[in-house]
Amino acid sequence: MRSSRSATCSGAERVARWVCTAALLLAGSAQAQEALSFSGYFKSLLIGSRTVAPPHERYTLDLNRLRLELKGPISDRLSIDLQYDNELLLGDYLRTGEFRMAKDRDPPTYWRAHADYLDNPRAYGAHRLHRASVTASFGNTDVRVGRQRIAWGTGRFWSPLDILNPVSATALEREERIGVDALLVEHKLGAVSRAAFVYAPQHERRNSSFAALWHDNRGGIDYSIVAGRFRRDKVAGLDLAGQVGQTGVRAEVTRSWGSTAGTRVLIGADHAYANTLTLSGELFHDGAGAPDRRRYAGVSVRYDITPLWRTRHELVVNLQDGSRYYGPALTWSARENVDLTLGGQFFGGNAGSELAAFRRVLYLQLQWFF
Amino acid sequence: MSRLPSRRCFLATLAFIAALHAHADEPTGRHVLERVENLLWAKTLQGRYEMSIVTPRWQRTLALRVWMDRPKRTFIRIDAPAKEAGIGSLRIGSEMWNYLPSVERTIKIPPSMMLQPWMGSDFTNDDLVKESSILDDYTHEIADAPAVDGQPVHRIVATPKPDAAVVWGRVVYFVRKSDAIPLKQEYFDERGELIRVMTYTDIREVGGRRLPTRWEMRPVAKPGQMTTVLLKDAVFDAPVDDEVFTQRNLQRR
Repeated sequence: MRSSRSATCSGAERVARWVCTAALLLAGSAQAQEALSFSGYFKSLLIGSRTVAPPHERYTLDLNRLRLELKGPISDRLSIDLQYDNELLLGDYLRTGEFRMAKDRDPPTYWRAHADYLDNPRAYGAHRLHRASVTASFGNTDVRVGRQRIAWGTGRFWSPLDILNPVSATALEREERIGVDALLVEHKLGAVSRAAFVYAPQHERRNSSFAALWHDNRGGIDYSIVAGRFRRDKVAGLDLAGQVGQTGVRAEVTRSWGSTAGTRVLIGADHAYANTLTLSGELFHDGAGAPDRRRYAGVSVRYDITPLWRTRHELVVNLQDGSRYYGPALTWSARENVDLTLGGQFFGGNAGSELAAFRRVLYLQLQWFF
Repeated sequence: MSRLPSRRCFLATLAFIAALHAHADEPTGRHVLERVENLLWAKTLQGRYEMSIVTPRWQRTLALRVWMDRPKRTFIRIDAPAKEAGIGSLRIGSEMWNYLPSVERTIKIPPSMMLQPWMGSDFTNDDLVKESSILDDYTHEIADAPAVDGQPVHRIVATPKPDAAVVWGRVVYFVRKSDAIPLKQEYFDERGELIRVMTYTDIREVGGRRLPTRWEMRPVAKPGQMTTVLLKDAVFDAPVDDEVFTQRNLQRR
């Protein structure tokens, strides 16, 4: 199985190696050194939990990720965004059936740009291109090709419009989004307005996506209108972000036709206090979901105990079956570029309910930025 | 035959005219603060600043680049440290957006967040992006203050207008009469309690003007803690490309 995967991804890996080589050469040139920035992080995430599928094996997993980033202009018109991940996984999670299924799953991207270099019951090593795009600018128009984040929508827990890089509300690393391999054309219409077109191919053409977006601001309200085809579904949608008094309010509505037909509606609000307490809340109706998985609520509370200690609490509830998720976290800024986070994910509900299927997770994370 | 004005009446009239003339030469509080604002920020500004947050137990330093087109537009980019590098803030009028590289997303900032501390410092988001205006949101009373280093000083009390969306009960400025260089600002809450004090020191030439380049903000309730802003370099009153104040630029590095 490994040899057949290597055969199918060799073309993509050649591309990835070419891009990295080109980036390194560019980074070495005197001109590029002036403009390009090199940065990244090292993260070590120690997780203790049980597998979701029976026999609910207890496990520990130590995920170590080194991310290297090279970003910035390489000429008057061209800029790049290259982010390379090298991960080393340790722990008895590697010996579970759940892991064996997950590591063999093809990522939902056009280019694989991912390969493992170590695979034994005690250690698994893999590297991938997290982001790899080139942007060409012509006046008010940017054309970006490659693996990128296309952040449409205003939601924090859920976002009906954030279809190209979707994420689960209960994901442990929610800020880490798998990139989409796409062509994005954006034309600036004003300081805060733009028109955009995206084409995200897939190997099976009918699974390709294309969409257009119009984003503008009127009367203090940001709004976007989106229409297109995402995989096999036609989708049209709208999002808004404004304020009522001192509180920020957000909304998204999409209507889809196809295999996941239905209307999705999100409303959210954010309020911040001078003592650093910040509250966010969202209600989500997923008209395209299963009958018992259509209405959700999410609340996030963040507070800076001191400038070095921050606590975050998230609660997600399935309003139909009553299952819930609670995610507390405490982060200590140990050094200027070093954060330590202790957190958990706790799931509850009746047997057979959606969120009760997940197992409790405890984690300790060290992240060093450079 | 009409009577000529008496000598006493004539002298009184002369004295009255002289008093009017002297009063006309006294600057108003607003005028003095206009000079202060223009000295520190000009009409447009492109500058590099370093902000250090110091407490008895730790210290953090941020490097910033700031662009201003007063009063309507501000753009700030954090260059260091690595954890925060790339974060951008854009203000246009009363609206503000932040770009967070960690989530690769631009988010609209609710008005309530303007009063939160900026990056853990003793300055608020509003202090940095200058949404509220000491000139337009306040009324001003001017008086003399004790001299500092032998130099005469204005004392200006700025009191918020009833409909102003500001958190302070009053702000008191101490400004050198000769050159409108600010020396100190005291911030009082609505109960009249002194909350924080900003002092301006290290006067030297930057960008073709002499101004204080070290600003220290100290919260009264937290002795030993302060936030220091150092002006590293600046260009004043030069044209700033409109492209700077766009969401497109916000998402660039």
